[in-house]
Amino acid sequence: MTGSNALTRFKQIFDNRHQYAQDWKSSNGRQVMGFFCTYAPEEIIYAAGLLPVRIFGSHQVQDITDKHIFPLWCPYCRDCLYEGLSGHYDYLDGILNTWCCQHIRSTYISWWRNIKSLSYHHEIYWPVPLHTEPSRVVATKSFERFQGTLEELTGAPITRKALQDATEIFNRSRRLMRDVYDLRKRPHPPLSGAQAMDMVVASQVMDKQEHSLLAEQTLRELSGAPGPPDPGVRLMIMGSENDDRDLVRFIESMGATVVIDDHCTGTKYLWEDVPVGDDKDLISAITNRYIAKPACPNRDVANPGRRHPTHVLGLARDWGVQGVIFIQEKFCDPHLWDYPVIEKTLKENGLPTLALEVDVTTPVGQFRTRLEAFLETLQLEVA
Amino acid sequence: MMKVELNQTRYPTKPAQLWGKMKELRRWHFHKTWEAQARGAPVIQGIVQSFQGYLSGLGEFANPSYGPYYTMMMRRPEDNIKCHEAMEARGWGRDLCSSMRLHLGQMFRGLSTRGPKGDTVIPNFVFQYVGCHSMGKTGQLFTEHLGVPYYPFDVPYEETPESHEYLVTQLAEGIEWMEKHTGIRYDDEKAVEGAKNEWECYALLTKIFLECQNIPAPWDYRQLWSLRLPAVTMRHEAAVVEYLRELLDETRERVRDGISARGYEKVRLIHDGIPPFYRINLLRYPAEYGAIIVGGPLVYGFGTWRYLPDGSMLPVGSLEEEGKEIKTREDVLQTAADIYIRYRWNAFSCCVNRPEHLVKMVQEWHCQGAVLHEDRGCKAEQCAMGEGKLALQQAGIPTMVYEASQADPRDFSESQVWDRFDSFLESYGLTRVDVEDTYDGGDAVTGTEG
Ligand code: SF4
Ligand code: SF4
Repeated sequence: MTGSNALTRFKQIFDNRHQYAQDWKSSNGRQVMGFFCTYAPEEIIYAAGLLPVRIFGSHQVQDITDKHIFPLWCPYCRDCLYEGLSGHYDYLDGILNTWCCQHIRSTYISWWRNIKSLSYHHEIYWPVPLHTEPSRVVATKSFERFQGTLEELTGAPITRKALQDATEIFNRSRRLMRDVYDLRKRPHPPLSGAQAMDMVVASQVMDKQEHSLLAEQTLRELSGAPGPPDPGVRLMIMGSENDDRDLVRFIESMGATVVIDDHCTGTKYLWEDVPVGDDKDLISAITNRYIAKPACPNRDVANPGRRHPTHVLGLARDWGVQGVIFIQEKFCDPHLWDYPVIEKTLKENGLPTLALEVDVTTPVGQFRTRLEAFLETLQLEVA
Repeated sequence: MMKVELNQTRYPTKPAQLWGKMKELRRWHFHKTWEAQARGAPVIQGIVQSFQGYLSGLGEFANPSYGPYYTMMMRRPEDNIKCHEAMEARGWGRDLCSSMRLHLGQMFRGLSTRGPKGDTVIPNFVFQYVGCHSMGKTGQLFTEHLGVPYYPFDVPYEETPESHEYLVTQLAEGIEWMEKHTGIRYDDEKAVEGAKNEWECYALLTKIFLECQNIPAPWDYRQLWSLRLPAVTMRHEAAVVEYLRELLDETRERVRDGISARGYEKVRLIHDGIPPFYRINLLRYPAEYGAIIVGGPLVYGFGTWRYLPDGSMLPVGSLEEEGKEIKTREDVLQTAADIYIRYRWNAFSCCVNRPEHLVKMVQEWHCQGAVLHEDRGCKAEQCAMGEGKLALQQAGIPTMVYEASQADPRDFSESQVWDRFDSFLESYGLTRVDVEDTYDGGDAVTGTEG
């Protein structure tokens, strides 16, 4: 792991994300909006003067959500509900769900039904399939309606200037993080996968302007850094929602470096910018970005035109990956539907895969043997 | 918990007079489905069983869902399990929707396209509304495997001006798409006729479901599940409208004569969730204790209702009662959007107010409890079901939950489920009774219609 003050700061902020948001709220005197899915158009929230904060779980074993969401639902969505029910997010003024997955939709419903401190909740209709003209139209209108509800909430119109500024701030943030990701293409990546994840998950709970200053600092600190002499096996991680940095650290502790990911907590969050230029309709431009970003399996239903396997393969090639670990949240059917198809594509292209099914906590002992065997095979292949 | 006064009355029962006609219509559908292609009619695969009015603009069409053997698989657990194993062998795990796994398993085993005479029937295209993750993915995998065109489209769960227009646009584009892929010119007159029939079928079913609020209920869930079948697969046909008119008459006669579904209704229950089709008679298990499952969100969702935020469901009437006319293609599309976004209990519309609807349904159908199916793989039909359970409990309504799945018999733990039912029914003070069933009705199951 490379020493970088900025990277350490990302970790600290994410670890203390509730404190960060509360401090932001009191020092800025503005509201904080929680959101559940990376299809949330954060630019619009930010332009309305609110801090968008992604709701994450806590990776704690708990038993308070079972009466709201049955145990056969994805652990992440239950974990997010736990965080809400236990009051850790009581500083939120409102929540937003962009309808993508039924699991997280259930969490959203349970949140607003049970968490009384919220003064606002809204769900954006997000169409399937995503890449048709009618879908683009309805998605844009859904974003516009969301904008209207925010204006009602704050009592002030969202000006074009505010939207433009927010868009530039978000584009800059994504661009900087992609620049950091590019450093991981090097034979000796100057940051680990866990550190990269610290940076990206922190960006989902921080003020983007502050985050970008730290991202720039990261680039300065790392651009000349040599990286570890032996980064080990180059891995890609992909699959369900994954903010489990301990799991990534664990994987990397076994003689590997995670050089790229395909998670909604990683590249799916920072790929694609809002295509601004002389575009008159900024909401439409913002919508186009969310349509163009790497799709969640639920939104990748066309035939012909399935995008996910080709996209993953492209990432693997560009980052010189030797093997892929598929991290599957238990009961996460969206990703489970895509896994066999992606696995086949990767195998056909000479990329071995390993699937790990995760729960709120990681069964380290059980994974160790499988990971060791997987990494050994990869090392043999390289040798 | 509410104090439940057991209704000790023994009511007269009687077999359904229209049972034979229902079976006849099913046979007709079966033949139509498998002989259609030979007559040059398109075969459309997909969990459609909705939008039939719209599709009838193509003239005669067949819709065998994703293959002919879903129902048969429910009666042959070994075959059923082979399909699931075919999926698992290809990497798709057991946590996915069991119905879709069963459909796809049949596809991988070469059964989905095998007609009853051993002939091969390749669909012209797959037409799939994406009611949930699993539907969209299933259609995609089918078309990738069979090499046929795919039209996935979306039915928004929420009614807004833009969502209505969105569905209308998708359907309008779908017409051009279907014309291109079948070479058939879409016939507006046939579509208008089909759409009218579809509307009337829904309105008639709704009236039948409403009659079940009576004590005794003329039919229970199990009987309704079978009796509604022609209206699931062929609601665009005039013959089905006729059948439902007769069924409504028969239902009203039963109400007038105090004919009960099962003889006793010491306790009336609703069932929420998609039932396990391989144990469909679970729906009448409470009859062994003199209790009945009157209905539930899924079966009543085959009617058309105005769903109010307080949970009430107001029936949508016939075209005449609603003062509605369907005359043009535009009317057909608008009507389809009205039905499938506003009035049908589609997979998602129920989520947000599901708790309120469950409580109201128990109250308005004069029930004293609810049975909820926690389905291992289906995440659409049980979104917010936990909140529903809480709301029922807060309203003092006894509730039981059982875990299984709708289409994978391996998910059904005999001892656990029946034990749970027994304890639940005994908690009302019920004991087993010797009730002679009015009729079996045991062979008619169907897949997920959404
Ligand atoms: S996509 Fe998977 S991990 Fe994400 S909320 Fe849905 S089920 Fe959970
Ligand atoms: S609604 Fe449920 S049963 Fe129907 S396809 Fe979707 S997951 Fe399967």
